[in-house]
Amino acid sequence: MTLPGDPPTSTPESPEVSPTPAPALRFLDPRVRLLWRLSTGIRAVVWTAGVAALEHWGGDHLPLPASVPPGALTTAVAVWWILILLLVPGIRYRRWRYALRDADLWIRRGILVHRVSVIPYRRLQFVDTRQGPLERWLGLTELVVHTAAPGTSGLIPGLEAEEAESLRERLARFAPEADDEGA
Amino acid sequence: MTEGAPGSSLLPTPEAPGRLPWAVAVLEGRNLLLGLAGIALVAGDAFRWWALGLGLVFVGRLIRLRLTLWWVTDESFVIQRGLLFRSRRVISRARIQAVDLERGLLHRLLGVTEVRVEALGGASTEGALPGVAPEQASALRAELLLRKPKPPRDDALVPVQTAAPVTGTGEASDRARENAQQAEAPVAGAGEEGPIVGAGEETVRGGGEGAPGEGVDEENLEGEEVLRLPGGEVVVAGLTESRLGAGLAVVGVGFEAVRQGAFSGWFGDPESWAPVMAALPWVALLVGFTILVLLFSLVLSFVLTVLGYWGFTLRRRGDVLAVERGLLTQHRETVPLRRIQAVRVVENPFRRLMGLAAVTVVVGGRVDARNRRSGTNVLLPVGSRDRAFALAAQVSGWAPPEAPLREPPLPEEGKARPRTIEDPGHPIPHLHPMPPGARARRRVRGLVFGLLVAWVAPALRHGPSALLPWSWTGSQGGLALGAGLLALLVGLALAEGAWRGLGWAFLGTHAAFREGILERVTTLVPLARLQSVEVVSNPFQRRRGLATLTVPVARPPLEEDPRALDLGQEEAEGLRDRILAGGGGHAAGPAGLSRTPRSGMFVC
Repeated sequence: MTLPGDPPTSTPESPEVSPTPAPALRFLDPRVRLLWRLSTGIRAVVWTAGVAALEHWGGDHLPLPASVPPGALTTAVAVWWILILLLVPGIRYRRWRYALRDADLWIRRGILVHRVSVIPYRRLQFVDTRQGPLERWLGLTELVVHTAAPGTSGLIPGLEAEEAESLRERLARFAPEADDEGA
Repeated sequence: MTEGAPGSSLLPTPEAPGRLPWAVAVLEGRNLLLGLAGIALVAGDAFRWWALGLGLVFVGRLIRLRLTLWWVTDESFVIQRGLLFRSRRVISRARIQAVDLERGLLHRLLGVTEVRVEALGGASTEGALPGVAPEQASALRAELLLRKPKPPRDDALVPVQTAAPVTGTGEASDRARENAQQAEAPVAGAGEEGPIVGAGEETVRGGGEGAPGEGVDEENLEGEEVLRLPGGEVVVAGLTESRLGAGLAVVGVGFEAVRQGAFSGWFGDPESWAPVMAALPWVALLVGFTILVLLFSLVLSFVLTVLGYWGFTLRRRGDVLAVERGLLTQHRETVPLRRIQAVRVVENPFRRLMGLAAVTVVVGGRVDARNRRSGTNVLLPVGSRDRAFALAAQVSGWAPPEAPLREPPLPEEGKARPRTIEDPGHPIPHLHPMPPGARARRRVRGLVFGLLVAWVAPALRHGPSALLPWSWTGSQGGLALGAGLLALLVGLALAEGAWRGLGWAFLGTHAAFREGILERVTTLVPLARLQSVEVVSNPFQRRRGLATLTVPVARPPLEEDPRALDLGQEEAEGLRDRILAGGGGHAAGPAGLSRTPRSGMFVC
């Protein structure tokens, strides 16, 4: 399956372009959907509870028309979050892919704003892995690669913990080796 | 290659990671006390609760500090933080730019040293250890800096070591240069402590021995003069500065409009203004004062520009550009060519009318507040378009060294200048326009602007009750129509200008992007400098098959990355792949390397 924005399986006609092998596009670990649903769920509960509390105790002071029935605001917020909870994690999982190509890391993500980032390994400065409580429970890890550019966004969430570690080691090793040609 | 250094046994390993000593709790405690003192001043009765909260934060910080682990491997320096939200940062040794040790008074009392491991990338310190035993800190510094597995030598990565002849080891010669310059210009150097290195990085670098052979020619301490701006051109620069021009235009138009009585009757019933009329002398005074302040600030801006750029001289010493400027305060700034991430040719509306442009550069490196003075990155305050582009092309390494720089090429009478991509000797790159979809997007914006004005105009005249279009009277509708049409015309004209302002070109080793409605900015990026490539599209862009290509470079945080706005989606992807193939994406491809200029400008 090829999608718009996928890395090319063959390169442009220019002879100088070294052939880029078709990258194996990888999905994130499927459990990341559960992770996103849980974390979104927590946020949904907090938000809804907050709005409910506001409406309950501070409802008189809200600048709402009198025609709005009590509880409408809370309901609207709850419905909004339920929609997000149902839609977003699934779509985000389907959109978010990455590929380890010969010379660069290729990441595609974004639901409304589509973003494809290609980060050459030799540009990597340092690599972070992050793990919250939910991630630990699920055995997932988030990997962030940094280059010297503040504008680079190299985030791969939902990697299997061991894979993330090995990937990080590999990426961290890449940089100095690729540097030799400079001299 | 990792044996033999004394003290490496002091360093923690992955098996036995290092922890921060409890002494850092005192360092944290200092912040707590400061916070408490601040709260005590303002909080009053609630002090207890605030103190409790702060105490909890403090305990949390302590736990976090205590859970901070660090160690060193053969390849990298690792810091792990946190209990619940655990993060681990791996900084490859070859990427470490500096290891700064700091001991304040409190640190000394506690017998610890603060360690800051700097890499490129983050805006702040990449690896910070607030307190480490001093001998361990020294060992860490020695280990990380002096025994790198392989020294990085990558011009695209803003190397610090290679700049050392100018900044670090060249201290003595810097002095000499300083003296030489002072001898020539007696005022020079007063109050300045040596050349300001563009965008920072003067911290002492271990491993900064510097490559020999890149040193400055001692015979030619001054460097070759590349250009000098005559006083008249500096005045032109001041006069055409966009702030000044725009300000003058606003003042002029406003003044004329008021004089013509354009606004009489615009502000509703004259009776409602009675109190204002009663206080008229005051109002007039206030208005007059405002205008005076505005004028004064404009004159001041002009004077400051002229003073700041007086005697603007651009020189080069080896691979370093040096700018001298200023009448009262003399500025001397240096910009190593290797740190130039992108070059911009800026044409504001007034300068465009006169065929003038300015050149600025985006300089990479660690951000240092002291060096972020305004004007640090200006290589040409104002000059003819040809000269600006010639300078930009050379500074970015696109044009070969023999391309004209001091004497811009004069167009032959009646002949159009040949503009081809294949001819890098010509300084002005020929840019491709963006697809028609990009124009359509801008026209939609113009339309929206027109509709908005049409909607709001009656309300501006008759108050908020006129915000509902179905309640408009005939005259209000007419007003909406007239204002809307006028705004639509302006909007469409701007849309056309905005679209014409867009452009892109792939120049083999470089890429050129242009955007801007009134002020056009052409950015020339050496592709060897790119850090990654991004193709981004939002729903509006996708609807028209467009995407934006961004080339993140090692810029200071407040600068913007070079980008090609609203390219066709396929163009963007093709350009991305060509950039990656040719511009340094491939690690060691000989083709890629040979096509990468090594700041070839000025190589004699």
